[in-house]
Amino acid sequence: MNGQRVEITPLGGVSESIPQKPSDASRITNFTVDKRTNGWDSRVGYEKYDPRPGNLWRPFDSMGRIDSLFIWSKHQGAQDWTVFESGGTLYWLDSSSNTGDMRAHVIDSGRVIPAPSEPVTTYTPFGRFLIVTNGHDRPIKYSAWPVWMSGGSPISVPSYTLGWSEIPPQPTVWGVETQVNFGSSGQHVGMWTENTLDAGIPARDDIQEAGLGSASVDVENTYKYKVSWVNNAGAESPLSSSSNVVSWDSPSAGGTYTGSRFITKVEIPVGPSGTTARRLYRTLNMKGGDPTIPENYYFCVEVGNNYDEHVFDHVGDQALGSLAPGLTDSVVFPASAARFTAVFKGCLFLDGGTSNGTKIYWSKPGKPDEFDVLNFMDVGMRDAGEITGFYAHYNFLIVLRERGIDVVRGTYGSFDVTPISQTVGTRSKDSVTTIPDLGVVFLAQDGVYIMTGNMDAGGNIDFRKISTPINKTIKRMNIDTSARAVAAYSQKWREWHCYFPADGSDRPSIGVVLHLDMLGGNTTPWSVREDVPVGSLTTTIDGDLVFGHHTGSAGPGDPVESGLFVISNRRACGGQYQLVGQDEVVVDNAPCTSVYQSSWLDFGDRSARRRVNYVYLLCLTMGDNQISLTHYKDRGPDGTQTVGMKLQRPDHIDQKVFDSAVVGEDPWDESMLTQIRFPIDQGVCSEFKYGIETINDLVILGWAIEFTPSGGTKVISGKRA
Amino acid sequence: MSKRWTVFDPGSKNIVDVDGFNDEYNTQKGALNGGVDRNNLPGEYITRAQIKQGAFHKTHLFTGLLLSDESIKLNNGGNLQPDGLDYSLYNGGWRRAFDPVQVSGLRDGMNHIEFNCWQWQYRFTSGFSLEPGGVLATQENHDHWVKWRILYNGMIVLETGAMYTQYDNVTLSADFPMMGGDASIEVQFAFAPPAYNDGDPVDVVDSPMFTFAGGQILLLSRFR
Repeated sequence: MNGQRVEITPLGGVSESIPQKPSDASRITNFTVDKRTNGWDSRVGYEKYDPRPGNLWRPFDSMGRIDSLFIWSKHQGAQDWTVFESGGTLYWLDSSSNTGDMRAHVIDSGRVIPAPSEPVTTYTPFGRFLIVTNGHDRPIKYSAWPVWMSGGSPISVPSYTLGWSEIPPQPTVWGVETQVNFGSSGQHVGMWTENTLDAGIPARDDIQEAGLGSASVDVENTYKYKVSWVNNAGAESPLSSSSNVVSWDSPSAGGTYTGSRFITKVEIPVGPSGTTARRLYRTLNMKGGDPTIPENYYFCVEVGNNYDEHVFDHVGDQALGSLAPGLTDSVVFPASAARFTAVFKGCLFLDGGTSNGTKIYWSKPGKPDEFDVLNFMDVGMRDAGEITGFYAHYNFLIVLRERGIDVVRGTYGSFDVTPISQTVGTRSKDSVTTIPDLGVVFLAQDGVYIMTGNMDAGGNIDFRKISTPINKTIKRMNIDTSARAVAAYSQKWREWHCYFPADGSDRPSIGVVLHLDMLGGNTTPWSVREDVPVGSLTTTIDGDLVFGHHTGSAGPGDPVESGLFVISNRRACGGQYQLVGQDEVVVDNAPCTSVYQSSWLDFGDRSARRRVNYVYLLCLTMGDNQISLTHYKDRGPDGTQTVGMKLQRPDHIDQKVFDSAVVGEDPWDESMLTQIRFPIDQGVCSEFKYGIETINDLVILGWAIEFTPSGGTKVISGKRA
Repeated sequence: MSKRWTVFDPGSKNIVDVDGFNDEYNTQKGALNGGVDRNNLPGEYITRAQIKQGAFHKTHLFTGLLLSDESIKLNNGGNLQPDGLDYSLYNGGWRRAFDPVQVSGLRDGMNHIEFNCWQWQYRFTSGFSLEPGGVLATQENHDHWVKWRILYNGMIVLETGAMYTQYDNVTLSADFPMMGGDASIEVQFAFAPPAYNDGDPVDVVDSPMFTFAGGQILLLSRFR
């Protein structure tokens, strides 16, 4: 009887549903898509962020879990500021240390270590600052540069408190003496300007009307002041309360200083770190409480530093500037326990923290520290729960909630919030990612969703669940710790990686990978990534996936994997500490085990039984390393392993391989398409699948089966109880 | 430029794959040609011996610069005091110290500019005297000063405060980003304007008040 042949190519991704399409796979673990052939390529692994073996895990040697990680690329990637958090300390990674090893310098210490169920620190670049919030510690504003180094360590780190934590103390005005010469007397100062308006001195025209008080005789002069701080982001603090009243009578007629105006000395408070200037506001001359003169404050003078303790005010009433900001224009930072941040329409958006979990605050445009008293809204509890994150996309701000999603639209002054889903929500704020040309992808409690569209011009926002083919894997997710899920899209790999805690774990323990190169066909785009200890995840400007270890070291003397790593093509599943002679080094682990399992093939008629004779693996030649198949029948768990086969063309001379190729004699070679035939001996079956489990290099493009129908054998009757 | 990690890892008994080798080799080569920076190499990894000549894409040095604006300058003949600015010709304000220097062929990046000279000023006005019976110091009759600033294509990139010392060495230094193309560098000074007392000038005229010489401009232009 002649055998029949079924060929499956191209191959698709994982489908865990039943039944499957022939091109689907039951399992694809630790494979990527080969960019040259679109086949499945096992050549993935991970390596140390600093790949040199001799520097061990420095500077992460004794660090435990890397709770959060952010790479802040500036100057088109010429500066990568790697910021990460471990053990309650926020670090930046100095890769230009003069010792040859990278160093981790502290930005902030004594921070709260997030519980397994809590979201980790949020990083949001805002102009030249990186806003860092974690819901417990005071939000900080880190500018990375400039940093002054001495002996390999920073003298000071440019990190500042976000927002104004206090109102400036009121300024203190010294009294005015009208009958003394230069100098001061106790808390009084006597300085005057001539009433130059009538003096007719050309060289002093520039100070006409300078000085305070009336030039007329015997007038009671009265002034009050307020002060504000201005910080390095251009934000102005709330105004202080009013100063004491300074009051004096203009000299009587016939005196030495008759007709003079006077100069006041005002003590002004020094602002917090990051303050770059102080602004002094002053009333007009209220003339002893003249009821027709309101106590309005006008801009008087800006002191362009944060160290002068007093300022002399000679600004005449006519030279005062615009009206001072109102009491509501800038208030003390309202979201000191903010967990989540995002930048939208030039404003910094923050949540109200765990105790105020449905409130949203936003700053003034371009000023992340300055908040109007009315710049907040409450999205309400309804059925959607608390806010779990923000994500700015297109022309709206996505407000993630536990069981719903809202969007903020509009512009500053007219922001409004609209619910768009009360069924889909997420606690995994670090899983929200934009995939170009697709939309916003995120991990919800029941799967991965994609959000597309916009609300302009009558448009709609649509949600679509895209993880249905891998429901079985998603179902392993530990909902209680899903806030620790992380995801990132890499344009280099054209993959979206999402790692989440599975099987009850308190940290990410399994990854699912969406392969963009597999989209669009009649297949699924998914594979699974295991054995990669991702705790936090981000990408470089070039699309390299950098992750922080989810466990790390237990402390000094525990030289296990710790710190930052990179998912790469290195044929190593991380590394391990070894003492080689006198040298302490980190050597590569064996490559990650890659697993490919075909779909369960029913040959188009599940009722008939067949005898599978051969499996032909359509793959690229790789050399003399062997692979074997394990074949299964009728969904049984136990398979039978074939003999190992070299990945060489069976009917040609072997291609040269490393270790035996001779430099200068043997040519460079390249992988070629070939078919490797594996004999199968397992009797008849209704359904068949095979699997490959290997640490060797493998690019698989398709497969074929040669089988023989088994006469009239059909499915027999079911068993009776 | 960010770091680079393994693109191809040749394994034992694998074929000598030219594509993989090229991928890895070209990635590293591309990184080097793309501009190695501090993200790729630790500090002090490259020593002076490895620095190629011409790393700064332009350097300029202009020397022998001195007060040359004849419209405000008094020739003092053979007197001990130098030729210099005179109040019969100068009433204050910013003045060009010398003709602007021109540079060309600059590329987008950063400029480091230094201006050095020595300066002299007659610190006191003529009415001031230390002699017994002389005029006491007043606000009007002392504290002459001079300020300097540097303009790059008309934009102020550096401005000093007032300097009060009678003789001094001036060293000005500024770093600033620049556009590619040609540039004009101008140095200006401002000297204290003549003082008046009740409308009457205090300062004498026909006597030098300020001058400078030995001026030098150093310009180092570099990529970013």
